[in-house]
Amino acid sequence: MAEQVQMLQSKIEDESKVLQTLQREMQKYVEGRQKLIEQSHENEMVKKELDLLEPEAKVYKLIASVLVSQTLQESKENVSKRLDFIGKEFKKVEDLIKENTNKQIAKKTSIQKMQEQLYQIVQAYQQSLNK
Amino acid sequence: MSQQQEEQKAIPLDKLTPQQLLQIKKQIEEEVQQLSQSLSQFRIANAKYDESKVILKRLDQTPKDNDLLVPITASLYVPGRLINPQSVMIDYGTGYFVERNIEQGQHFCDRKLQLLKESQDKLSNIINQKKQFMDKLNIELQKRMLQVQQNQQQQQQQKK
Repeated sequence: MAEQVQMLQSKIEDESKVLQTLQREMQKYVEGRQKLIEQSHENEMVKKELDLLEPEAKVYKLIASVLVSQTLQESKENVSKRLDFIGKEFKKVEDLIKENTNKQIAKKTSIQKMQEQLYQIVQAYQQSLNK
Repeated sequence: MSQQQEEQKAIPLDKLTPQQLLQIKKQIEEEVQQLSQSLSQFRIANAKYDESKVILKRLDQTPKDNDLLVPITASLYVPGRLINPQSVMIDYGTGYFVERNIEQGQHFCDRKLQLLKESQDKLSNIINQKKQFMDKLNIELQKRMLQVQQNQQQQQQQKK
């Protein structure tokens, strides 16, 4: 019985460590997702403002401490591309989050089962002592 | 979403233990604090855009070729001349700047202020909803405490 108990306990420990790693991963995913949302908002606002400009408007882009002149067309395309890219990244992160959630649920279930097994073994042993 | 929360918890609100109620109350309190901080950040942004509008107005009245000092660093200024008071450079975000005249600059500030106001109103609503939920929690907690007191009194009377 002691062997069984030890085995179960070390398995539970291992699974718990994996669970913790999953949780830390999840934290990073959620942070990344939040940043993407912020970037998406900012780019959407810029797109709306650019749409209000007349075609001759002087647009500049800040490229490493230098304001470089751009055409309105270029800027609009650039912002659209950025928004598309952010959209794709967002979907990736959402899929990763979903996957991670499922993995966490599976791990928690397996840990719970092992804990129940452990409890039953200990119970059975104590009962056999009481007889 | 907070309505859902209320319904999810209003139904078993009676069935939650006092500890759980306290836990939820703490959580909501933290949320309200964070949201209130965001609200004050909104007010700061509001003040900045208002200030920009005032500056634009003053710029409009400043004559061309006006002498001024241009900051090169935080403590180094160089004398200069205002060549075109009608033209302003606006930071649109994500590294894009647009040259506009003063009136267009003021319209830009107005639009931003409008966006800020809408967001602020939404945020205020959410904060109020959470505060209302907290009031409900407090009422429930008080009920429990009263029950406990009554139970204790009953027990004492039975012992006599």
